[in-house]
Amino acid sequence: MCYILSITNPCKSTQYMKILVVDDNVDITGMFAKYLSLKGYECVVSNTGQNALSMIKNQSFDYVILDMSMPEFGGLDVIESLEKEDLLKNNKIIILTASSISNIDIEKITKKEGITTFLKKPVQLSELLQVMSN
Amino acid sequence: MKKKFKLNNNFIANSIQNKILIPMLLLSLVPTFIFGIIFLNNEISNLDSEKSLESLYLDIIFFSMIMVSTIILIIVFSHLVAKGIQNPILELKKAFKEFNGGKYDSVIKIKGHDEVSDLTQSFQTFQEYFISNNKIKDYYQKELELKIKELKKTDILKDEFASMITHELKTPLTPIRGYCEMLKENSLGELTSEQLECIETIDSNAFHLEKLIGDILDAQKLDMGHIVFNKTEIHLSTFIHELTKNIQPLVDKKNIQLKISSISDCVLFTDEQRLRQIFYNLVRNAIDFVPENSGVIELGFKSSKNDLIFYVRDNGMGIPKDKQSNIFKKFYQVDTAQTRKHGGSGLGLVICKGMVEGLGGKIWFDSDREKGTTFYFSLSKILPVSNEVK
Repeated sequence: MCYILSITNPCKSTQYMKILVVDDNVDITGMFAKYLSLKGYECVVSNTGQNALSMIKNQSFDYVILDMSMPEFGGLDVIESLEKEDLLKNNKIIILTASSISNIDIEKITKKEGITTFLKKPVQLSELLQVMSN
Repeated sequence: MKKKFKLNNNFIANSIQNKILIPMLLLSLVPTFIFGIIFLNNEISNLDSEKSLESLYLDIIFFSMIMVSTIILIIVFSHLVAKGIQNPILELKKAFKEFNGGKYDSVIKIKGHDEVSDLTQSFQTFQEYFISNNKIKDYYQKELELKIKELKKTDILKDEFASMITHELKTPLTPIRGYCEMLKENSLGELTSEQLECIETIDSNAFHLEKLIGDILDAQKLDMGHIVFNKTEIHLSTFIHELTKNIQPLVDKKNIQLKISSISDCVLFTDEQRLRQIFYNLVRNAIDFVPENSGVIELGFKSSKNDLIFYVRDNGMGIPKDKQSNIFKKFYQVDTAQTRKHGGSGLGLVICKGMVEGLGGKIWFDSDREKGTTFYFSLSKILPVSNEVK
């Protein structure tokens, strides 16, 4: 019900936003899911890049919180796959990074259409809310 | 240095030959000549009918032939003697030449027991010594190359390890700090003041850990020259305003005073994030040294022709003289009860120095046991020429 409202309501309130959280660490996705649902968001989680990619293709999300370093198929692979199919610009992706990629590379990626910003781990939850409410 | 020996091949032969030839010629020809003259003189005085003029001519021819054959014999003899002396020297010369050219094992046959053979013997001893030394040198060179390769490999491993460790340490910190944040804002239910205090302790320690990881990563990046400075134009007054907002909570926690000296606004072309990091590290450092409740930290600025000099002054205990030369060294901490209490990576000032120098400035300090410590750093005020002006 919430999901339908989020699509039909032109003045989206944060309460009806649907967020996809992608991270291979279950504790991290669990923590985000808990926090976001407490704040009234609808939260879907994925622990692999491949799964996240098919979810992004088949569903609509208001924001995708995407971890860069995941085994096998990382955040960068997800972004590149979306870019190849020209689907990246339809998304609002917030990148999560733990400094395994240099700042310059991250800034380059962030300039792409469809990428909202990047947040460094450990993420301050209030900062994340601020990004999504803008 | 290579010395070239220029030796005319015939020089020795000629000089020896001349030295043998002339005295021998003199010794043999002069008596023969005198004897011949006396003999002929005697023959002429006894010239009679019995002995014809013809026999006298024959005698003259005989003596002349003896003289010519003596000359030939002496020349041949002196030539042979000269060659006998010259050949071993030339052989030695050839060996020296080969040695200079890099062939260290040329063999020379030693004949006789004269000075030249002694010299040849000495040369061969030198050759053997040189070859064995060269073998030792080659061995150590190979060892050194191997060690360098190993070190390079270790260095790469160290980088990978630092990168991996940063990632692996930051990942668990994310849920720790996330849940702390949720608990602190009572999102998971109302907490008692005691519970809240515990959560605050967990969170502040997790924050400290996060800072340490960040410091290690930055120090490693500075070491490798991997830090890229993203310079933009920044307005100093706005920057200081933002900076004060960030620093104030740290200062308030220790109930100390933060003073900002007045400054007219100016535009700097620098990396805002890194400049904030420099200030943050210097202020954190100062906080560790000032006394609780009565501490004063002052941020100020001086302007010179081309540079802007920033300073962070504290009224702390100062840095002991014998420790002053070490404070910009990695992992060095001025070991006092106060610093031990606060911990720290011992990398804050190293990072400050690296960042300031990376931004084209200098960092230095003044410290006095009674007045406290002031850290200064300079940054250029000169703005890059814009494309339009070009």
